[in-house]
Amino acid sequence: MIVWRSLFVICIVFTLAFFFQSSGKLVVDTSLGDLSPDLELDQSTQDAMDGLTENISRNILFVVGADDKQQLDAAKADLSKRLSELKPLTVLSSDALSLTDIIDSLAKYRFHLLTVAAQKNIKQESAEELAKQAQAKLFRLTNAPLMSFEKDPLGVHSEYFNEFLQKISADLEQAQTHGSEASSSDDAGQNKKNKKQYAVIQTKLQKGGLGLDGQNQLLADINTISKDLKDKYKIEILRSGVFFFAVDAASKSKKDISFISTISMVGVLLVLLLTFRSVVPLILPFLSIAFGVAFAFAVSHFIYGKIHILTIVFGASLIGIVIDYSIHYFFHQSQALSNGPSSVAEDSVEHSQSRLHSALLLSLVTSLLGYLALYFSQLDALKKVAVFSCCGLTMAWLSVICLGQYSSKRIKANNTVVNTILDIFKRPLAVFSPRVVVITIVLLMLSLALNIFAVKTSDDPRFFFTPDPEILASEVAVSQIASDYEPGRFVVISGQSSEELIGLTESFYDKVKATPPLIADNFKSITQWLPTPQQQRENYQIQGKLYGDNQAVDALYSLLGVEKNKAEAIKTEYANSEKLILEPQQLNELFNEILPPLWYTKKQQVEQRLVEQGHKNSKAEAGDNFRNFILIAKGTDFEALEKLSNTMPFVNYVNTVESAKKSLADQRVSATQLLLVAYALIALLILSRYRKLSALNIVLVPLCATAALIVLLNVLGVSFNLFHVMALFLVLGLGMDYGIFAYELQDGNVTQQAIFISAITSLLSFGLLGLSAIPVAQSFGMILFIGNSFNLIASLIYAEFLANKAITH
Amino acid sequence: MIRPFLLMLCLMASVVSSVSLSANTPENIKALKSMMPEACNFSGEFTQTKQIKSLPVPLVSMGEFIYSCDLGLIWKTQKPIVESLVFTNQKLNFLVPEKLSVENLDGVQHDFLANLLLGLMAGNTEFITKEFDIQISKNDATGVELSLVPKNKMVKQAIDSVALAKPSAKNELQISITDKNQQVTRIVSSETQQYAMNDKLSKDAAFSESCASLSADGCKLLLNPVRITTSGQN
Repeated sequence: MIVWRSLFVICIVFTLAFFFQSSGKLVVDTSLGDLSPDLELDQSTQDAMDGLTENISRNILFVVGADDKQQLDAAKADLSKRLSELKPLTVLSSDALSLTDIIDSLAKYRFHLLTVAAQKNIKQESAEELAKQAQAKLFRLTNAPLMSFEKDPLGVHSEYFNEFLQKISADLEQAQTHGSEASSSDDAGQNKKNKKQYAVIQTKLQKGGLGLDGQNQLLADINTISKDLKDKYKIEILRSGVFFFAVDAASKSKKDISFISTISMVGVLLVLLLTFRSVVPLILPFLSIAFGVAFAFAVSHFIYGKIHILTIVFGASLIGIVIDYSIHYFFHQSQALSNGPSSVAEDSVEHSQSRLHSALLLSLVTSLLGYLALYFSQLDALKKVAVFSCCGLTMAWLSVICLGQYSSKRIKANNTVVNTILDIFKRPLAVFSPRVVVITIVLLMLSLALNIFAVKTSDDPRFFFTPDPEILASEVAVSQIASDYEPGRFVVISGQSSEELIGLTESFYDKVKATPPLIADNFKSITQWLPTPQQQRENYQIQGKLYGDNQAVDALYSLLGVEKNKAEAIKTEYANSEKLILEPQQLNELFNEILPPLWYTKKQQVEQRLVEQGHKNSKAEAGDNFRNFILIAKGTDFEALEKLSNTMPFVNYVNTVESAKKSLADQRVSATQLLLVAYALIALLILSRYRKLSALNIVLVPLCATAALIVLLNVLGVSFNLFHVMALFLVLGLGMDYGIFAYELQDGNVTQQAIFISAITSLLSFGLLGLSAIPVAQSFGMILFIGNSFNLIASLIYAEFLANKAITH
Repeated sequence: MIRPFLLMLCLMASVVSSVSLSANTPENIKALKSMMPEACNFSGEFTQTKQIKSLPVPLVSMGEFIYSCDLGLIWKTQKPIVESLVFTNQKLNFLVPEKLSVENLDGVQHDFLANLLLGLMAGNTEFITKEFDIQISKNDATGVELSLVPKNKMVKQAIDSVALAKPSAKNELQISITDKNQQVTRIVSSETQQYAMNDKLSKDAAFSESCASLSADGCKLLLNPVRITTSGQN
């Protein structure tokens, strides 16, 4: 007992310290990422994908649609301005790109960069001729170089950056162009007035999330701006982004939390008042709930730095479970006290107390096993629910064990009322004589054996949340107008070094070109924006004819009548730049938020430093991992792509929906296997605890409930998913709870009453969870409600059987 | 009737003074129209002065041009280097060097400056107002002066502004282009001859003669603009 008390005090101190330190500033996470299963990818690819997902999930796109171009331009400018005034949003567009800054950043790499035409020209012509060409360029009317004469006297670098910026701008604005093209081509034969033109505004949410209030405020601001501009310009504004789904899910979750917790608390209150006819017995249960939830909150927040809103939804349903410990405590305390104050009776009370503690501990262990199983799923949301629930249950249990003795000794259950209700409930169960029970169990097991192979399954990740139809419609419309690329499919190329990865990417493009249904232009890689390292080195060598001694630059200065020594600065800069090769990583970082992290380097810091120091940065350290994400245009032949990727070990074609399905299916199968292992382990635990074969009957309670549940769902045609299987672990845990109480405290009616009341409160919570608007919670709650109802029936039959057996003895 | 048509690019900031009105107001557009030529087919001469910061002396060049509102413009530099720029109405632009083969002139800057010159010579105010924000200012030396600030962001990367002025005393139109590196190009150009309007301009003897004598290859491209293929053949 001293151990439990010490543990209880430690937990209380931890909880108080946590809330004191956080000063009530708790972060509620509303991201949907926790509901995404990890795909079956290697760690580096998964890390790279996580970075990409985080970046993309902060994108919010606005599409303005208008009949008139001028109206569209005015509305777009106005919308951009209004959105840029919102603090959590950054308006991104190539308009906002400081191309001058980009050129300044890339200037140091210019001796490795050349246009194809310039490469050819420098190779073919003499230094004198190149100087003459440069001179002619200087006199040319249309010559407006991007770089100053000192940095680019021959004009070759300006030509390169001009071409480079045009390419990048075209790529970054592809969505917008696509939208316009789509609109004009669609309406080619129609009246001009009916043509709808579109403009896209890309914005980015600030890093680190906004919190619930911040999210709601931003949504309200966006709605106000949209409404104002729609009224002002008579335009259409569509929007797209994970943000809108996250706010919608958070709002639904918030409603669920308040609904479940309020109704649960009221329900529990009524059950306790009806059972004990006094407010005194409310103190211990409510203290256990408060301590349990507070501790669970503190631990979860401490571990994850924030608490996911779905965890709170599940946490709200814990109320009905943690209350069980108090109910069992009161029922058995009142039963023991009803035996009278004699010394024999005191021994009996002590004995009963000890058995109660033992039963409560075993009950906690089995419940913890049920919840702990959730931790082994690969869904972060379920892992967090497991941590929260286990902490909450343990703390509630400790509260009952440690504080129970201080509760009033006069608490007495109103056996008449509970008995009456229990009798009504048990009446139909009277048909379950021992023989019928055996036949039923056999039939159930046979049905289970027959049904288990016919169970329908569903592993579609889209089941995880049901988006609001309006948000979904807007998302689809924006995707059709503004996106050229498949949202959930891409190619990942893996390499051990930057140079190797660039080479492998080139090989992929070569193969694509050689595979007829596939078109190389349909694949967009950041490597297309810059020459390969090998080409860059060649470019550097070629430029020796420009910047070497007595070469083109000297000849040009001579032609212009300028002192030759003025060319020394650029010649020296050229000589010192041999190692400065431009890597995709630098380019990706240069475009920062506008371009998602398509190039992934595991040791970015090391790489960066090497580049800055001018080392041969392509030589990565052993164990470094590089990934290149290639975007795929819509309309690509995916079957051909998949076949091609199968022939290239370094190419991974990722279809996120299909991969998620596969991942969920695998998890469902492994969870089912784990469930069987859990049954076996619990059976062993029971056997080692009671050392009687007959004690194994306890396991029959959840086993029969599970069998009945599976058969029923199969008959109803419900498809099984991972969450159903995960809920079966809790059916096991709760069924074991009831079975253990029935077995440990074979005192007939009181045990049955306690089981009945505790099951009613649990059913109330799971039933409420089953009414949740979040499909995951709903699915979980529904299975637990049905499963636990079967648990209740099975445990009452088992308790009755044990009571009859005791009487016979 | 020979009407002088002068194009001059001058440093805007050095002479701008007094009032400045922004946006493409009717007043600005009226001022712009007043600077546009009235003839449709004409030829002339130009002098170009380009000031590059790090060069001690400006780069001065001169040459001739011929313009047809139906075909486009040949802009031929004759001193100190010889090369022609051909800007066609079909949006195909070419570089005709003296000795080397003809090249396509691609890129935003080339297109933009070609369109600007074609727009100014054609009196295309619609194009100018679409591509530029126009500001009007008054100047003692040149009278009314227009400052054109490009709207296109890609163009903005290379060109800061274009200034137009038409001093009434000299009957000149002056335009100045200041690029991103503050290099200033000034051109003075004068219209020396006009050609009669003809439905089949290519058969207009005077125009064809002048055109061919200015640049035989350029004239062919102007009359029959076809993009140059990689083999160098058109």
